[in-house]
Amino acid sequence: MDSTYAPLLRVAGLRVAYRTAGGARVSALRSLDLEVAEREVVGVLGASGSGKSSLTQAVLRMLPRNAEVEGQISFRRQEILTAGSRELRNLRGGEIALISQEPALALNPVLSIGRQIDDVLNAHRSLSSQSRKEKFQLMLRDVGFPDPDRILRAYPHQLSGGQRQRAAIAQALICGPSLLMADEPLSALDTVTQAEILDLLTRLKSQMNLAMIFITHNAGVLSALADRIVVLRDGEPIASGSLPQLRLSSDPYVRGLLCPQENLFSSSAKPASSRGAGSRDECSAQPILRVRNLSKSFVQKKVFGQSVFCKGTRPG
Amino acid sequence: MSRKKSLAKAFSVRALDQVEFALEAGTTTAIIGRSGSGKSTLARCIAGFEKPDTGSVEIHAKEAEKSSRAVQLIFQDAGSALNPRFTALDVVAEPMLISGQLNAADRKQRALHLMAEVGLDPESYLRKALEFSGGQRQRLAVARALAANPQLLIMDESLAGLDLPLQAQMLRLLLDLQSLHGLSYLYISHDLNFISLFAENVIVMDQGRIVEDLPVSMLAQSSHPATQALVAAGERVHAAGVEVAQ
Repeated sequence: MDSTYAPLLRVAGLRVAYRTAGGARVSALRSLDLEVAEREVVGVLGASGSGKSSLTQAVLRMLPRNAEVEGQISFRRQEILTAGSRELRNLRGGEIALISQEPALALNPVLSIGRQIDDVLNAHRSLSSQSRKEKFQLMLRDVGFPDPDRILRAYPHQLSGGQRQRAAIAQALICGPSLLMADEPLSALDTVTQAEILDLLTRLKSQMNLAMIFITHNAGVLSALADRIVVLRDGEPIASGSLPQLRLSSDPYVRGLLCPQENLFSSSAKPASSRGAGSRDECSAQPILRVRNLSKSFVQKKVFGQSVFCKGTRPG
Repeated sequence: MSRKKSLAKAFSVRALDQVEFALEAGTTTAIIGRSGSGKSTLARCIAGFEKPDTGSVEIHAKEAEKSSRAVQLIFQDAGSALNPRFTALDVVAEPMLISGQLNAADRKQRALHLMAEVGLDPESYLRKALEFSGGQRQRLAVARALAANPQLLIMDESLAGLDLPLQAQMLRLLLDLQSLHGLSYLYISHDLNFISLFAENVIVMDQGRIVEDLPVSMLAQSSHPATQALVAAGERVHAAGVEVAQ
């Protein structure tokens, strides 16, 4: 390897453990090595509790106080674990951005979307109000809002889940970071919205030359996006490679993540389509449940310009 | 009532619009649709938590209210909704305590039996609900639902909080319990993954209406835009084979 080569992000021997109230030590990451090159997308795949989220928090130095960290994390050769608060401020949001599972929690409920994006921009760039405004408009159009002005004035609760995630992505990318860490960014959204946000992230990655760490338990979302996948189990990387390479794995844990439907089959189980016929004959005419002409309305009121749903039929 | 009207502008949103369908005993129907399509309102009306404006829900040809225990609803993240101070035994035995049909010893015996049935170690019956993992808590929620001797289980995004391998394991368990007890399932989800392995029929909802009611094998050939959007999104976000295995 070229001696001048340095990856964008280099994680070496990273260990994270949490001290519990009872004094016990719970290990979340054990000896993780990971490199992310410029413009490279690394998928981090793991089941619940495999330590995925501790990684993003460690990279941003945002682990809770009871966490113990060992190892090295460097971003463009700059050491993160020993960085001062000024360097950290520049990195967070400026060079490394994070989007999370629940944008409703990441966004401040009492500030307008415009104000929150402005805060990020103000912290990292000195721009005139006119050029800030232009930047907002452009960014919000980029994440798929046809009417940026309305979104800038809106508060998080006035947006749908998908719109909130788009707004959080706009906030994360407004300063043009080099690395975006996405921690289960699709899990709280319905499938159709998931596909839309996935398309959006794929487009923004090329458009903005982003490197990404994409954390998920769903291998499917990585298939078109990730250059490389690292599989985490109990805080340790146990396999890595492309999706087709990992599909060849015989490890039950890796197979469970890549082909979870295999868990559905066993000696006694057959797909529903082949089960159906028999049971249908036995209990033919009598349905267990019959729903007829069911209608239900909710009254939507505007209180202080905000939609409030109440029971429709019995006001009061 | 008139005072309320004078205070706020009110207009009505139809959460359910003339919904009609039937579920055969011992089978599974999946109800799929985007967020806000009316799936959860339908579940709540069937379980009796919500009173419909019009229409009826019949369980075994009887008005639903008279057979409410025959229907059990398992919510999304039901595992976290368990009382954290309850032991596993308390969690599973409580529905039997409320129905008052068994004495304490029989309740305990049946609760331990149900724990074993859902794949939990009956020996751990004194552990607090909070001490179980997410997947185990979900199993506890299923055992608790079974304790009421239901005929119909409604699962409203019940598995959404679990990772995919755990979701598959839970569906495997639900299939086993279905053949063991002859249960009928309404499986509500925004997601098509595993559906072809789990359900016989699919109902697609959009803006409070049922737009399609079809065998699961016909899903991929549907020409309805709402269904096509769900199928296409499923193919985009899931690994091959997970979404609509043919």
